[in-house]
Amino acid sequence: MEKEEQRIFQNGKELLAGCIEKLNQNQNREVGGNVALYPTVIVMLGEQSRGYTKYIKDTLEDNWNNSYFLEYISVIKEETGWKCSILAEIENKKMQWDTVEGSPNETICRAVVKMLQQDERVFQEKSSIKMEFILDSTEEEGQAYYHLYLEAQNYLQTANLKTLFFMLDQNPGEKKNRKTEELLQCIHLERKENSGTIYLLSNYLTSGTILGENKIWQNYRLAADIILLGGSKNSESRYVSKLYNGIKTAAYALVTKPTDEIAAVSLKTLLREMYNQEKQKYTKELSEQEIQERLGIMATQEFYVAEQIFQEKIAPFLPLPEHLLYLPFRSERELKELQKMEQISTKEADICTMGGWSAFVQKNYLCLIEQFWKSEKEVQIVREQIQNLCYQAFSIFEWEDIMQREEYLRQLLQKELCFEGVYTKASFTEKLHKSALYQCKREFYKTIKQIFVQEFEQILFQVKQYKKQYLECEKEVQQESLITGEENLSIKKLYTNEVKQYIEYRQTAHLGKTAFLEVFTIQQRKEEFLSAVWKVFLDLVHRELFYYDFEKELDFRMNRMAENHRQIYVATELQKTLSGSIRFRSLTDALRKTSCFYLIHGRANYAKQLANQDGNGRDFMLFYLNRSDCMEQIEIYDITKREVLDLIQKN
Amino acid sequence: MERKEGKKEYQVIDYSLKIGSGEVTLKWNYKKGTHFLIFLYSMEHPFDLEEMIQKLNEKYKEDCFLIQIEGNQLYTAKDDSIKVFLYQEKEFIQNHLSCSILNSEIKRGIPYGICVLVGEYQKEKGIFYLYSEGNLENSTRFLPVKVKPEIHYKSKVFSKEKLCMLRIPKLRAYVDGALEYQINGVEMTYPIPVSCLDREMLIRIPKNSFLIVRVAKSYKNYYKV
Repeated sequence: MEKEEQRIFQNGKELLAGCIEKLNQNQNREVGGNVALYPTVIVMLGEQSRGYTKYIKDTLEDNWNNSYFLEYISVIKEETGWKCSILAEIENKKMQWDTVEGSPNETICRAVVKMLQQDERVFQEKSSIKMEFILDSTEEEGQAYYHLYLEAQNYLQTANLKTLFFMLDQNPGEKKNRKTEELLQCIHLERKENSGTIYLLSNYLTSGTILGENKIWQNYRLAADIILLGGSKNSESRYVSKLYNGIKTAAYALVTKPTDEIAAVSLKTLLREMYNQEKQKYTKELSEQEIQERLGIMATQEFYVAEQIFQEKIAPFLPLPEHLLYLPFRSERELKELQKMEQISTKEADICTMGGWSAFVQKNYLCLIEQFWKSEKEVQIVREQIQNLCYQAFSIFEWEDIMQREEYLRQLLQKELCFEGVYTKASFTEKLHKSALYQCKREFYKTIKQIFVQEFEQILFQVKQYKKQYLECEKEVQQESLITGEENLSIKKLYTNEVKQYIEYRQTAHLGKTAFLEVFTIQQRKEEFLSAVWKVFLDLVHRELFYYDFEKELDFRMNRMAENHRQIYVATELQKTLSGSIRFRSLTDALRKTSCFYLIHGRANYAKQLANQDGNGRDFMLFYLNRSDCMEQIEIYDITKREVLDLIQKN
Repeated sequence: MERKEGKKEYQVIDYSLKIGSGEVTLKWNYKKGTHFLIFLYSMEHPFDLEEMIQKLNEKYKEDCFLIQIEGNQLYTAKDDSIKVFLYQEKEFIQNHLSCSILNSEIKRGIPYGICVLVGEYQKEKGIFYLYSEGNLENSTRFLPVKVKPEIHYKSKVFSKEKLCMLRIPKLRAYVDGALEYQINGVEMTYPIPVSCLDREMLIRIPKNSFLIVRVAKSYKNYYKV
């Protein structure tokens, strides 16, 4: 938790990304009974596909308990040959690619050996090895990679189950399409009996949608799902067989808990409502008396903080009244007259002492003040003390109010220090000492008041900057979030309400004070501010609602619709997404659907409904996922006719 | 004349001065140089080397004239507040690494500073280079004014105090607080303003104490008690 709290963000966009990640982590990843049946090596061919390894790895890790023992290899074509790397875990579950010696086949073999050396209980079936290859069609040396795939084998087992997931880029451009088509023809022509299975997964769907950079990860997740379906211990062989042999493609529907929108709505509402609620607390105007009290300004126009500094740093070094006994005098008679005076002015004292009094005051009182203010270190300490006073005296919203009364503040600081007077029966040394002390303080206050003014100006500037920063953050979050469609109105309604309740709860707990002190701190830099908001968000998402799985969240959001209505809703959503989602768009439509799979959490009600349906086991197969925040549907299509691979119209 | 800084081999070493009868003798060592410039200045006015070099350049349009003067006195200000003397290396060596300034050049009752800098005349270029380090501290010595305070005491019968009568003679261009007095057992110093000079100051002090006059730290080059 501590590490989580310490994240640093540069802007609202990064903060939102962090919030989405956190909500995804909140989902239970149960440890279910699924395991990989065979030792499986995943080979990322080329640089492009390597960047998406995470989407395959995460999916396999979520669902296979023995996924830790799988091997990941990267093969990149270089001028001098092939560069192979294996994925290794470094610290804190971070991964990195380590270059290894040897050819691709040798590397694959070593990976296989490593898996075969594992305990008997890790992989139940060791007579076959699964090799899953992923290649992006934009790789320059596509044909070379394909040949590598064809030649790949391990020398230990005869039964190699090879699959190539070919990520097609069908973005418009005849040159690009021609290159892809040539590669597809090559794939078709050079295929042999033992060439394994080839999946064509394009970014251009039959509906006309093109998967952009922010959605292309779905194809990698789809590839991982197919690996799961074909490689799990619990998969039925009659369905597994439909996943393999030949050239295939797939349609894919993914319906997930709308974590992105939930995070966006929650964060935006949090920012907006925190500000509004806090501001409401401070709507009444501060009275002049209250301002003075909070700044520690006394009736004599002394400042409490200034007095503390004076008593600590100056007063101990001042002369004592008895030291004034040894001033020089012109005559004893004048000295006696001076002693009788009720009030002694500087002029009278100087006449008696022939100027000795003023010289003494200058050297032993006023010089101390000059020396003090010459020290940069002392000035800095004073400045910090005044800053702390100002930060603690008023909230940001109160400073906004004070900003309107700058003139009053200036006048307050310009007021003269009052002389507290001297008891008439005091000794003449006491009277002289008090008078010198007053002069000393006046000098001291001249400078300290200047520092006050500078700090006030600085704070007023910071308050303006803070508000600007706050609005900027809100805008950045807004820009990153998309609110479209009817479903999202229900998200907005539910989560806005949840956040408001949370804020109310916090405010009740902090009666009369700022409930979000860590957020509303004037002197924060942007990163500190974003971290503070992040911590509040972490506290917010501890609430139960943010842990609901896909169905429960949907149910709660749709105001507990009847169970059959909800299931119809889910089925409709899946169908809607599935329709037109075949990952291959060619000029002909001769694709043959061979199977359908539902990937869903075992305890989901929809899963139970599907399990009881007639078509279960015949028309479709159920695969139980460990994650509870999504439902997936996959339809597998065979590509049997060569013409299907034509991407460019032949005239 | 041009000023140069940071050349250690052109600095005076172990510079000292001695007050004798009729003259002040200056002694120093050196490594390199052909001439020495001595600046005798009254402490009443701040000494500005750059300003002095400018004045010398105005007086001596060509450096070759500067080194050819008769006698040693290169420059005297109108108010005598500063005098500049030039000595050749040959002269200095002949004088056993010393030179003198007559007392007649120095006015009584004024503190003086005497700054000695090494110079080198480069005939090919026709330029006289004057070498100095940053703050001239090592090149300067002082002639503080001797101050003789008069201190008398007068006891009072049956009193825990006695009276101290202090008199400081008038000093030219004295600054308030340059001198101060202290009483033993009292942790305080009492600055003497100019208005107290040449007047009797009466100070009550404890019976068993005594009063001393000293020079304030920042004026130690000006006065000597």
